Amino acid sequence: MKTRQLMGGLCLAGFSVLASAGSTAHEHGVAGLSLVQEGTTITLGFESPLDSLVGFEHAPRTDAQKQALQKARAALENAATAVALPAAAACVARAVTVEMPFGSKAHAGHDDHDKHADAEAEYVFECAQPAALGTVTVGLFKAFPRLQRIDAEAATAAGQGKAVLRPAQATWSLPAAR
Amino acid sequence: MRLPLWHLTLASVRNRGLATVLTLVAIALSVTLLLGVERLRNDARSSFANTLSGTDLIVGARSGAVQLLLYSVFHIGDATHDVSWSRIDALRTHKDVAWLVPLSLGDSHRGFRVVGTTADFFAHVQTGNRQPLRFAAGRAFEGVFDAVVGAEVAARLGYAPGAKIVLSHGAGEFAAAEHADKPFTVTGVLARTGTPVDRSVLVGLAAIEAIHLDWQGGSRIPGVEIPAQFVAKFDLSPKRVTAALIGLERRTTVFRVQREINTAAGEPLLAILPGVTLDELWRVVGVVERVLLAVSAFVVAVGLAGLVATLVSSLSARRRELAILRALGAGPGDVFVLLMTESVLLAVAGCALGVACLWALSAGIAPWLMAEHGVQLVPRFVDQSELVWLAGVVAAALLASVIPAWRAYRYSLADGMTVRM
Repeated sequence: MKTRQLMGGLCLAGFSVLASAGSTAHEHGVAGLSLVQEGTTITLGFESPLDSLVGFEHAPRTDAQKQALQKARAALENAATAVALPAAAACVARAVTVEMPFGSKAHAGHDDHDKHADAEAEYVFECAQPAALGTVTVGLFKAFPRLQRIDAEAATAAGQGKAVLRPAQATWSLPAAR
Repeated sequence: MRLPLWHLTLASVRNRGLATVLTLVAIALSVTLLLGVERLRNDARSSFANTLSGTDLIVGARSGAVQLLLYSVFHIGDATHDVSWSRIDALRTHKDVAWLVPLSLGDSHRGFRVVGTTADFFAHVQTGNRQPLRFAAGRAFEGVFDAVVGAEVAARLGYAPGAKIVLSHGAGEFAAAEHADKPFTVTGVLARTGTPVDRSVLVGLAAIEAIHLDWQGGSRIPGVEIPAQFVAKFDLSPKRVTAALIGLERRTTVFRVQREINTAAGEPLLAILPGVTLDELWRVVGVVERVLLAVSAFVVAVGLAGLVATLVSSLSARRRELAILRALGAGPGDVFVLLMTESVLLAVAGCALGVACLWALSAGIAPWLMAEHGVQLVPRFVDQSELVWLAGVVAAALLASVIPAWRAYRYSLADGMTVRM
């Protein structure tokens, strides 16, 4: 799969090239989400400590941990459930990029990263009706129960805004046009 | 002939004038408070949100994001550090940056802030829904000792293009800190925007350098005086600025550029998205707002309790009246409805009086709020969200009225004509 190949390359590159969420500190249980709208293109960036997704931040040692990583990657790669956009906006996912440490074979066994490890994902949507983008339903809390809070920041044609999402309030109201 | 019930209600209300009026006033004031808090909250939010638009990032020295937003845009508080010009100038040539407007704060003119900037300020700073700045008179500054004043400054101090003004160092508390040797000429007056720009005196960055040539560390260097006509011989390129507003070529790069600035090596800088930081501020202020709202809701509850107390205490004095009504053919249900109507009528009248009070009050303080705090109260009698609150108050009154009405109902069943008072 194309994304997987892209993944390996990104991982080797060793630094983030994704349009990830605003500069959030590494805080377990807390993730960052960003949304930028430029014309009909919507770009969402997600960044989270690996611990919040799988419960550990080192190279997988057991089969269960390897499976957890694979499951997390699959959940992040599913754009439709991770960040659901309103049907009225008529959005089509154009590209999904997931960047996770310890994912590729080349990295297995290494544990010489920083003490912390982050996972990142980028979703690019093409929306026919960007004006109908009122809310984003974030499904990441369901996929990752360890996630307690998402600091979500948006920059759209209507303006900029920030929301704090929690498992009980996973619907993000984007800045409304004034 | 049977008199309609509302006629009795009115007559009975009129019969106990003073108590009724006092109850009415209590309800009216509590409603004014409740709606006033809500209106101020909403209008302050939209005023703040309308202050800056079209700016993607604000860059300043690394401190708190909210603090940077407050001092650079709203002129609230002061910067803890400034930023060297070389860093800001380097950002101007960044490939993703479309425009950059530097801001240099720290001087004042008769209580109004002086903002050192470039002529780009007038081209790129937008307020409200992407409204550019307009000149009500004159034009932008060109020479070193030219200044542009905001609408409020011009109105309060009576300035028009051509006026001579003297800037002060710092907040302007001391006459000794005046830059009296280097007067400025007003070249333009901006149209009113309803934002802190109205309360600003705008000058070029070179002007800020020029008035501080013979100053060092916040005071005049003794014995050194550089007359205005010689300042051109000095290097007037800015050394340090307070903050900068940035517009990007494409919005998609905003989070990347923000991170780039925030993690760059060297002098620590902070880049913020103004709209995001404003929402962070509201999250902090939101707690206080909710407390205020809760307090005013309690005040309304107290007002309604007063209403019920008045009616209940009047009941014992009205037992004979109620008994007579019964003798004249009124059923216990009629007595119940009579009391309900009375108290709801009072509540509705109280709400109406409260709204009128609020209208008068907001019309009265709106100019002061605008001038002192830059908060624009939108003139309106009552809006949709306020109607919801009013409906809530009336509903609560309806609920509370059941108490006196029920007691009257009981009395009217039990009492005969010979009530012992």
